[in-house]
Amino acid sequence: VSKRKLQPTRAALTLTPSAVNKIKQLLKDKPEHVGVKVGVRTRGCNGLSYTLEYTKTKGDSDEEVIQDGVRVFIEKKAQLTLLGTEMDYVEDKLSSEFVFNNPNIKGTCGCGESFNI
Amino acid sequence: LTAATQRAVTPWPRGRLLTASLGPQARREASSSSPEAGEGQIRLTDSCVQRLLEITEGSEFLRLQVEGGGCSGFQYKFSLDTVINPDDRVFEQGGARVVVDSDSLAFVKGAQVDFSQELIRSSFQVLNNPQAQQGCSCGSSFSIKL
Repeated sequence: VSKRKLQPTRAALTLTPSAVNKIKQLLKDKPEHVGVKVGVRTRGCNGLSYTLEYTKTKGDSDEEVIQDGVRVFIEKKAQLTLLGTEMDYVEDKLSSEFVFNNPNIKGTCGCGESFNI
Repeated sequence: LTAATQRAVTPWPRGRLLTASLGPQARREASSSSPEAGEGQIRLTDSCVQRLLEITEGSEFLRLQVEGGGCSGFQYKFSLDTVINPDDRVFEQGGARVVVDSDSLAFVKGAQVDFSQELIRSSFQVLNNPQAQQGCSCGSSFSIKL
């Protein structure tokens, strides 16, 4: 896999308004946490899945995205896969979830949770 | 899925199969009086009951289906419904109802329906399915024991 040239004008991660609103809502009751952190782990049938958790501090190698007043930290391992991704929040009666619309993904499993690049 | 259903039916005791061929009415009666009834149940966790009470309106209930697909061959599908068909089984707990058609029930009997909430996703899940041999790690898809 050839090394991808970083483009300075490309945002690491963009958030849709519904994602911003959901994160604000989640953090409202947790004043000790400054934001949420996106990570990636090996699991699922296509190799990789995202994780999301509250965080109190920015890690040394985290990348920070600030948009509309919310902070999202990206773990080092997740940074390459997330480059250029849009983070959305989709909700209906039966389920609700953060969705990552990632232009780098080459394949996902049928339910969309795991992916490979 | 039809072929798999045929295979799944075969291991059943012969008497059960004969009863099934008599039609839905006889099947319901046999099912309710059978000593196996306890093992054929589906249980609802507290969080599942609570969530269903929140989101259902009027006579709505949660319908669970098993269909072909997913990386392990079968997958669970949830939807909200209001119509109960002749071959449906209704499992009620705390005022919340989960309905499963008889074909799907063969693949999930004894399992637990949960509403799982994580930061990244909240959704209904099937847990501890004794009919499932293995599943993918996100829990949506599974393969059956033969």
